[in-house]
Amino acid sequence: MLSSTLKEMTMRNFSIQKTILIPIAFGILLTGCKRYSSDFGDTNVNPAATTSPILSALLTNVEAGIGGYGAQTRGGLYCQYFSETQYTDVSLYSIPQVSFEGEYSGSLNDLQNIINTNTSNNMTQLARILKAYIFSTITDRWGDVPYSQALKGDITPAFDKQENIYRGCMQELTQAVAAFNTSSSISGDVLYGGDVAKWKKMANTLRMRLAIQVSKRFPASNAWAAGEFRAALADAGGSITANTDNFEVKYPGGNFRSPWYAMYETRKDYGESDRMVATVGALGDGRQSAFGSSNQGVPYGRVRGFVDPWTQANPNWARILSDANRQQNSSVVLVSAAETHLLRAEAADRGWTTENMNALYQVGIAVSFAQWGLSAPDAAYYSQSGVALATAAGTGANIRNIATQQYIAAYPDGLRGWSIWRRTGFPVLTPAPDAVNASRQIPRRYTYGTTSYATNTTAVTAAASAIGGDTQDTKVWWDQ
Amino acid sequence: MRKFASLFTMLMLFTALAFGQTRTITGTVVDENGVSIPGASVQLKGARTGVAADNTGTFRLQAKAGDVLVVSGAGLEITEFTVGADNTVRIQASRVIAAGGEVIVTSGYGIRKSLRNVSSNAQVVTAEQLNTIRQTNLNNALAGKVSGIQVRSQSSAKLGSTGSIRLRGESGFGGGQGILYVVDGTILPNPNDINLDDIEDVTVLQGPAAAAIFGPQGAGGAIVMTLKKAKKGQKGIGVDVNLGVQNDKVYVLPNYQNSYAGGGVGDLMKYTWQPGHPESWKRLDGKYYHDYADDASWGPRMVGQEYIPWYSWYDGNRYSGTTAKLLPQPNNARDYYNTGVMLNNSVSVSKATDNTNIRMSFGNIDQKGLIPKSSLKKNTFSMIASVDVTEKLTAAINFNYITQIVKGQFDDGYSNQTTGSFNQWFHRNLDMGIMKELKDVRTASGIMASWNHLNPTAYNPSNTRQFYAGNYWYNFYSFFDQLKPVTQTDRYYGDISLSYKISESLRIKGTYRKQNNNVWSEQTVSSDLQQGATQSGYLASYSTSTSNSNRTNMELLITYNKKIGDFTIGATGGTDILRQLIKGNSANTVNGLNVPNLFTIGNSKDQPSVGNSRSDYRYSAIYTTGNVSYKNFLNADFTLRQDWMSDLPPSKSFIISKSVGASFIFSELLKWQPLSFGKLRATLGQIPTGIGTYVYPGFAYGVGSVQWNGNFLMGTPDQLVDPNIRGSVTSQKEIGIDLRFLKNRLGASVTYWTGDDKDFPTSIPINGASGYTSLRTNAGLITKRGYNLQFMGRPVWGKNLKWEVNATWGILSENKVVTISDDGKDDTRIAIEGLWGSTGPYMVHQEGRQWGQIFGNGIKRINGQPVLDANGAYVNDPNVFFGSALPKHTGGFQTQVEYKGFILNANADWQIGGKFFSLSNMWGSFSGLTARTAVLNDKGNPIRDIVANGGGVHVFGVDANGNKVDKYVGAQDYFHNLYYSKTFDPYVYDLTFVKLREVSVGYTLPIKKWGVNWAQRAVLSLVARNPILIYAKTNDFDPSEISNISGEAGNMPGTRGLGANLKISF
Repeated sequence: MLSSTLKEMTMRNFSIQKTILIPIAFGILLTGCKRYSSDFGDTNVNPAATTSPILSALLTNVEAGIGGYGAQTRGGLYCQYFSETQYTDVSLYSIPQVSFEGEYSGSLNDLQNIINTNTSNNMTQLARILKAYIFSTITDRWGDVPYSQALKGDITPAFDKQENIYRGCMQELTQAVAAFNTSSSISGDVLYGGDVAKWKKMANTLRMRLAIQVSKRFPASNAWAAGEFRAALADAGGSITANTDNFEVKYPGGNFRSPWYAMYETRKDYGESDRMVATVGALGDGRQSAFGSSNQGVPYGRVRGFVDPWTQANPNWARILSDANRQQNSSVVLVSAAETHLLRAEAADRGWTTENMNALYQVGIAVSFAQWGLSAPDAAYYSQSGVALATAAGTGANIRNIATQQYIAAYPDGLRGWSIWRRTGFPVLTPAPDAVNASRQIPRRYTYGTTSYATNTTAVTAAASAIGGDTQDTKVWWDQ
Repeated sequence: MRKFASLFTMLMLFTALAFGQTRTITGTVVDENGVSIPGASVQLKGARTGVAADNTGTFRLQAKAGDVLVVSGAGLEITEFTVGADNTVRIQASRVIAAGGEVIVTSGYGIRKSLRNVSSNAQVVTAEQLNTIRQTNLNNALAGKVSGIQVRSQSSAKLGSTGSIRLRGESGFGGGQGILYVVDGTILPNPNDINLDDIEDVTVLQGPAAAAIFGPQGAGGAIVMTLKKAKKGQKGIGVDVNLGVQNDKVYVLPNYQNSYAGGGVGDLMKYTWQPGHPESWKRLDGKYYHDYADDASWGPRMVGQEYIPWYSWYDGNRYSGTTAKLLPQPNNARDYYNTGVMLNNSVSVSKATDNTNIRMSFGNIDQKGLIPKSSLKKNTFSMIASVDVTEKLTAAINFNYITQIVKGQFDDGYSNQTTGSFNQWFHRNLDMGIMKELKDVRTASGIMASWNHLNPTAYNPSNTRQFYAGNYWYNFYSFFDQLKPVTQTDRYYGDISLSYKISESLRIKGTYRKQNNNVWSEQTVSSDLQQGATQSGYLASYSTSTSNSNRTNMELLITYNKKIGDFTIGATGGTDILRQLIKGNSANTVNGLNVPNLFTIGNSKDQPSVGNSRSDYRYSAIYTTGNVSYKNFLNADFTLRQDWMSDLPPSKSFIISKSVGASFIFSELLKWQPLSFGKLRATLGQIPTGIGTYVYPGFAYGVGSVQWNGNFLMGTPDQLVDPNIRGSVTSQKEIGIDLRFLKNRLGASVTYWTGDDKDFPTSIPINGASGYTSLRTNAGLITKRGYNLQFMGRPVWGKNLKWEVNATWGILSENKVVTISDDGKDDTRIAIEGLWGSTGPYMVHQEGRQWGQIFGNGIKRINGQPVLDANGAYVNDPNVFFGSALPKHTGGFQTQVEYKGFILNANADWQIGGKFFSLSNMWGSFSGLTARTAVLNDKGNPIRDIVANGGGVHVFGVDANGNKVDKYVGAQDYFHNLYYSKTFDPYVYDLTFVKLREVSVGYTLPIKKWGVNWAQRAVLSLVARNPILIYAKTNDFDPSEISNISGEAGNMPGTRGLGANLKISF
């Protein structure tokens, strides 16, 4: 019944539609397209994102990850703080192809974004300091890397000479310290809580570190490096002299945990090396109680077939850091009061300053102990030959013991330890007995990663030839 | 009525022309199976006119004895029949398979036309060809059957996996462009969300010339499926039942060594009981064990000596405290897998009357997988119906619903708990039978027993878990009991339409189309897994996600068909307005669970991680397509489409796709008897592409879901977006010739095509030192050219014996990255995909080379000679090009032999060229599992013997100065050094293979002889899937099933299936 009615209705209308329908249809077709076509309103606006950066959130993002620089195992394996417990390729010096690009597109570009946006002067200065810190760790690992053309959206940035990167970083630190004011606020700073005074101290100590790091190239007390050191030391902002001012990451635990804690959650790839245990043990140094979970260091630089059965037969082998210092909410220290004092002692030894070398040295050691919650060692510790500074300041003759103390104080920051060793040669390290690289020597740098070769071929090839070959045996500029 | 009227007029005409003896002949046209063929045309030989059979295949015409009737029609062999004395005749006409010019090609929006009038090399696969063995995977079912297609299948252990297809090489600067799957006009993101029994035919449209009507979506080509509709005049009640069962077994596995046991220590070690050790271990005092903790097989030679197996250390099983003989277990990896069982059943009902037709189907697939605890259950429902409301108005509905539940973990990445162990980190002496038997063995404190526990030297009475728990691995059977992923998918799609015939030549149709998909998935990882191993990385967890994607199209289509004199004009104009909304929510626990084995997000140890995603996309398109034919032998066709797209910058929001072509059926003019059909054709097309939702203007900052003491986190976006980004074009042109000889007994098609992708809007990985990792811009130029060849032949075509062969061959002569960026920068290479980061060989695009180079760390060479260092290790070269991932040649060969009631079908496919990197073999050799780690050297000694005793691997080459080096290196050092020095040449393989993919032998049961009247037809078939991998350049994998574009990291094994199928038509 229904269908026949429908049929009748449609039949009746056909004659009309025949003449009208076609124009209508085309009309719909054209107006429909016009209406729907050119204007999609906010269809293409991403509902899950904002288009303007929130600087505090960028800063927190960088600071949440910066502890990683103090917990890099590769540097620690090269400088023999650590041993590999099962897969021993890094400590056997297999080719260190690591890419630095992620550090640029990650933290460095967040910092650059803060600097470029520049809505708060003090946040800009803070970002410059962090940027200088990260760049210094990058160039210490690879040598020449992109710097002056980096972070500008230039997709094939040239590589800069390490000397220019060092000069650039020190200049950034100097300018940032000078440019801090009292009026602009800092938010999102989970390291120093926006305390400008502390940032100035950190920047000055870092400037001293960089100046000392290039001392092989500029040894003279009237040369550029010594001048930088003295300027940093003399800066009104001061430097880190108390552990309460340390540049450190205090992890809240939970979703942000100490990397040393996370390292052992479901793996056990690394331990404190037997070499480190021996170095500290030779001095009867109480800091070993903090450095490892036991005094049984893992044999260094041995093949899997040796070390794997060894760790099984010695199940209490030393994990990196004592249990108390390896909690979810433990800290990772990046620049410390101990470092300031020991750098100043070294500067005095080099004749760059006329400060009291011995006093600074002993305070540096005591502050290092205190950093781990340990009381200062007794006088016998300081007087033993492996510690005492026997020669007068100003000659550089005390470098062995000063460097060794810097090396111990920097533990477990492997990048620091490796840089101190490369700069000074102390403590004396013997290469891995089972090394697999052709030279069988401890690597002096990382080789450029495949990412550089894939996306910045011309620039990396030029850099490789400029530094004298992209090998792990090539010394970076300050190491030459 | 009108049809009858015209028929009557013609009959009158015949009567007038005819002589006295003519009489009325009533006939029926039927196919080989006796099913009547509607609409066939019947002509008196020599006469210019004829009649058409009606919907039941019946015709009437005037003829006299001795006259020859010629029957022809779409998809039919031209058949001649001599009139005899009978007034009633039955003419059997054979259906042809893709033979002449009568194949129907389907493009977008349901537009179907005869292949005669198509200027591109559209290839059609019919239901019979597609379902040689009733595949459940569309991509696999097309392998070898279409020229220019590369099917990248996946192991059938990965239930529900679709694999992927390349048409005429690859485009773009990513990992590949992907192709469009279309079912009756609806875009289908998952080609397996369909019951393959419902498919009438599949048209494969390669290149922009063929697929322009789809606009930007079709830039990579399209696979267009047409579903079966009810047909008038079928015999019986229209019910088809299809019952199938198939068993799958592991077929291709890597070649393992079977001489040396597990561990990193070459000798058995003596166990000495000590105070503090369990009392039960006293029985083992003085016995020997191999290194259990190292998951490698550099252990002692297996010669049947007594040893303590892994399970003896666990109390409470029947092997506790016992020893066994150390013997090879050559089949342990193979033994692990189940025999997969698949039931594939479907039923369809169809009915057509004068003004309605309806087809309904139900399909059910029930699969038990090769991996324990894995299963797939899929139900498909389909209904296609149309009703002619009036003579002019037709309403139609097309509704498909698919629901699928897949259980099981199919991880085929590095360190997965099947191949990730068997092929990479494993003990060759493990007995899988005992492994299975002991899957529930636990210690008193509930720790699951593992073959990879530590050595007894590590036993510590105060921390027994340290010893008993697995070091890296679990008992494989226990693992799959404890990890439970489920994914449920519910998809419906289809359309409702109204079409109206304004006049004989003009029709209008409106369609509302929907494609909606809901996915729900969750995974639980038990607390027992967290406890059961110390270094597996598994923490107890729960994760869940739901997502919905929803596409709505509103389409209007006007078609005009008119014959004016010698010209036939067909034109279509239409609009298509789309909105696509995708929304999803996900959550997972972080850092473990508070209450063991309580699986809720709220039970997360730390703040759970949550995510939600939304995307909104629209386009509006108008298009027109059509063709003009002159006397049915000269033909021109064109397509023009304009898209306005929401993802493009508003100032340039529209882009235009176009194609134009022509064909010339020269056989019509030539009239040369042996040539049944000959066509020359040429076409060219251009399709632009969009840029992706929310890409422009870019620079959007998201907020992290966890906070640091109340401070929230935000990262600077890593992608730069070119402010001038625009949609841009991929173009192709092709010329071809189609020839059929000797009444279609022999045929060939040759197509040469050439094209380029220019200024592709693409995301180019850039050097991170710029501050960004990718740049979305219009980039580069890729040029491609190649040939598509198709051959067919019917060596025997008799009444009882029919033999048909088809072959396809696609040649990819060039698929070259000419430039990547034209801004003068030296970004000549972009990295795409790596299985082991960029340490292992990975895939890049390199200016001046073929698309998809496998590139990276290899052996340094001087004048072709490998360079060796002082230790006899190869020296690294980080810039080695190993070759393109694309095979140069692909093809297939199908044959069908029909003899009386028997029918044999076979399909083989092959490819030549293309490279891949095997991470499995890299680690498998590092850890002494692969056969190559236990061969004899050229002195006839085992390479694992020490060098001083004549063992070692013989290495040749030169030193850094080019001086000859020739020495022996210890086997373990040699294979370890390959990794340490990052010299991976031995692990880059070739994708060349020849594979017999499908075989079926069917028998049409003589049910009529048996007196069965309730069924029309019954066919019983025995089928085999992947029966023989005839040739592969690497023996360790099935090269047709490599998991990733650049290689594999833990490929699942190749499998072989055997089954049976019964199809009954009622």
